[in-house]
Amino acid sequence: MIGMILCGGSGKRLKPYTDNTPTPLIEIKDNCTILDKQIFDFASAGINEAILLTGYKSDMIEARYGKEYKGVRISYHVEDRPLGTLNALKAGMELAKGQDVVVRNGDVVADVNVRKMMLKHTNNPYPVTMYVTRMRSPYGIVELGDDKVRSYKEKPQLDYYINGGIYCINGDAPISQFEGGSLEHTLFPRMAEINRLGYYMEDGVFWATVDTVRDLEEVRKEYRNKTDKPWGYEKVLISTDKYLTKELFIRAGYQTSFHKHPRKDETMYIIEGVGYIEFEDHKEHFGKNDTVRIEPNVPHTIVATENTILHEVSTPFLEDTVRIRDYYNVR
Amino acid sequence: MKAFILCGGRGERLKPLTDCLPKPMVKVGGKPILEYQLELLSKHGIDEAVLLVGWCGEAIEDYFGDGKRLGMRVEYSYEDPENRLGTAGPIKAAQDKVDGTFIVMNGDIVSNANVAGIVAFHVGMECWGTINMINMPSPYGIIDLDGNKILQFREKPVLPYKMNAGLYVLEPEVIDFMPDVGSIETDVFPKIAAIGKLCGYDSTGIYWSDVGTHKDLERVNKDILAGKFKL
Repeated sequence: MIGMILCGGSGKRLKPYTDNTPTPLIEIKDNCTILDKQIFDFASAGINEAILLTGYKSDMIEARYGKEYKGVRISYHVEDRPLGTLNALKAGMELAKGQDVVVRNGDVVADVNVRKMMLKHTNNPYPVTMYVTRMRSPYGIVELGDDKVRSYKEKPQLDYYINGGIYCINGDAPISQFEGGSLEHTLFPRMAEINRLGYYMEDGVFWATVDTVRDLEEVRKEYRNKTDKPWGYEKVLISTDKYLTKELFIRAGYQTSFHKHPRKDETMYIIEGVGYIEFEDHKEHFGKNDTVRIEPNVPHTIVATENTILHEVSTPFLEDTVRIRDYYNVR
Repeated sequence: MKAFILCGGRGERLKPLTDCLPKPMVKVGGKPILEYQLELLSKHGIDEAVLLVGWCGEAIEDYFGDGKRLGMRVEYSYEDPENRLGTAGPIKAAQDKVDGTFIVMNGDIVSNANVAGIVAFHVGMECWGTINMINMPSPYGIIDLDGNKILQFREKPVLPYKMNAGLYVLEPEVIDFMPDVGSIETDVFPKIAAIGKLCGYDSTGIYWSDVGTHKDLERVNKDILAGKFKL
């Protein structure tokens, strides 16, 4: 599949950040833009070609990504004036020449398993698959008991789903027969009406749209200590001269590099997930609440069969990794 | 009874309107948001207000003064805009002005809540706090799923959840639960709820809008022009 990113908007609601920068080039951490993360996500999903549907300040986007970024070949469709996401997609589909595509809204920062989503799309009978994410209430929610309030939750996740801004679309989907401005008002509701819109759901992963200054602050907070990896992410929770604790998130179907630590002695505590640690001559399976110790100089890779979150508590050597084998083209 | 109104928010999402104007002073239908709130209180017999101001608070004090023009007594409590106290801290910092049961309001909401009704309900309930609630208007389109496919999209429906509508009636006891710096929503309400001292008053059906973004502002302006919102 070809990747495609809708990144032509002017980011009116992100002023003053977007006065001199298009939304996709806003940094979520030092020298890492929203678009960096999105193209990295594509690369991690095994996609090696992407079309950027640009408009506002396209020259800046083209200057940053050029013809290739993180091993992904990049081409552009530049809109002179904003014609809406439907028209941008139509232009993109022409450039894709009948190939299936994964399309992303250019303002979403998410840890969704794009590879798994593509697989789900290939295996379902629908020409379009939408990633749906659980809605987080922007307000405090009051749960009533008999006469008093039983609980009060500030901005909880609700049992309702909203559009998560990632779509798989078949090359032969009837995009050109629709007219109008945005995908949300044309393609998606029409496809749902004729029972042709599938979905992909993945609860419990980070998902945010960067729509307002407040959203941006929250994403930057998430990324304060977070580094994306092709297999998920790594967060340094604490690093002192006596010990080190990291949180690792490994996506279902992914694994860390095969590596060893000359000095670091570490223990993994599995917070959530299922998988195994593969050593040179054996595997050790893990599930929720398990602990696994890995002593120095023992080569290993952590393999997740389901989305896995673990805490790695170790002796304090932050840079102490000898990679023996990488499984992905990006790092 | 006194009403404490939180007026210290920076209004980031309303820039450039709020470049040199505090959010409660942003005008809808030709009048500051805060003026609607004071008029609402006055209509319900609440004639004392403490404005918890911070960044650019002087602009608020210059406009409302001692409140005489609105037939009210208005006082001010200032927080340092460089060291903001959240939504609980400013109330705690002004606790010497608390003289019994009191009202707290967020300074960025336009509504015609039945304040007298909420107070009367609170007094009968033996709670330490009563939250004004409405059914939640979803800011997003909702997706209905059906087996393996999407059945339909619903444009911004009202959902069957009771949400905090940003107006509370509180007893002085609640101040003991307030941190010097922190949020009434995350630090205080969950604790009061856990000990069974929090009540909710269902105001579903009133006019209600927060004014956090330009989109909100446009909508409220339109509603006022169309006569959808009246005190």
